[in-house]
Amino acid sequence: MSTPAGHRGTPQDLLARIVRDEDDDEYALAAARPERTPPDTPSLVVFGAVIAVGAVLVTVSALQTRASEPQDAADREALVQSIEAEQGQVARFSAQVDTLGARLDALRGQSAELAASLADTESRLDEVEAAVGAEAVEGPGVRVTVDDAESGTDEGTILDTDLQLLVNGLWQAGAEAIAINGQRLTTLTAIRTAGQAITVNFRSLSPPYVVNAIGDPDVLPANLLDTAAGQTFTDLAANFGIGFGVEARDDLQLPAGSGVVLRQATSSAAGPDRGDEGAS
Amino acid sequence: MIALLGMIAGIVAGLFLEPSVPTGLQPYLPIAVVAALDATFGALRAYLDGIFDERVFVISFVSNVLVAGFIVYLGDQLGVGGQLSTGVVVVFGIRIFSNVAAIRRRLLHA
Repeated sequence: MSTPAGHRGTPQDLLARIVRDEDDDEYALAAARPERTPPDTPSLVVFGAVIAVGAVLVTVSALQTRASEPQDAADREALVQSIEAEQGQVARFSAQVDTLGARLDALRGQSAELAASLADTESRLDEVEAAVGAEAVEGPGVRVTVDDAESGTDEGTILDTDLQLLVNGLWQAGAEAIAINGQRLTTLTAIRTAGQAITVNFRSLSPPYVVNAIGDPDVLPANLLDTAAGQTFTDLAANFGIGFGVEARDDLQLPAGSGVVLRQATSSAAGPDRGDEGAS
Repeated sequence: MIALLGMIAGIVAGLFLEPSVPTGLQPYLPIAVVAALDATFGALRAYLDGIFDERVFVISFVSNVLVAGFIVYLGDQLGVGGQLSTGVVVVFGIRIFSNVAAIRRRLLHA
């Protein structure tokens, strides 16, 4: 194993040394030794035994490789089958992905339609709520002020029927929302007399009555004066001296009406309760 | 002569006795075979060179097989058994090739 120092170090040198194989030639080294003796019988027996062991090794190795061949082939076959099964699974899943994607597209389209429908319904709800008085509204309109005549006669006193007439005239003239002295008129509002006072939404009001109506201020006053209500109030003002004024306003604010509740009826599944079940 | 007898005896023994290799030793069998082949080709080359020595052959054979098996065992313990097996096979393969090349030069003078 005497190697020049320069031969060590780089991988190229290592490879070259392995290929050249000079260092590992044990036989040359043994032959160079002077005390070489001819082989005796025991060492020959050992030599033969080692040869036999080597032959056994090669034979057993070959036998074993051959014996494991069917097993390897079976393993390979099983793997191939497994791969094919998984590929079938992949194909099924991708088909499923396609189907679900198509369904998703359909549902997306449906969702867009529903969203449009919802927006439509919501805008209609806003309109309806303004009309029935459930929502506070603001905007341009007219303010109609009516008052009892200063003379204090019965003919000069504003009655609930007068206010009903005026309000209906305003509806007829195109008003979208009406409030009297801050009481919003809803679909459930009654204007009637209770004692000496007129009540709206069960609240007693005292004159003067300020009727705010949301609507087009350019046409609403003229339309109102064209109606029977407008004629009547003009006559009343001329003949009995009641106060009657109509003025256009740019920004009227009407509160939400109180007491607008939604009542729902459901049919009783058990039938009408007769109350005499305990007797039968 | 003795070599031929030993070889025939070994092949016959392996074929007819079919000794089953313990599972733990199975990975080392191919490595041992390659190491044995290396020692055999080295011996053949020395024989053709006229410097064959039974003692050197026995020692190189046994030590080759044991060291190769030990290296692979060590690699198994360190988790690089496959790579070390490959390395051992490569080194023995190179040695076998160079020995065979020397034998070829000796026999064919080419």
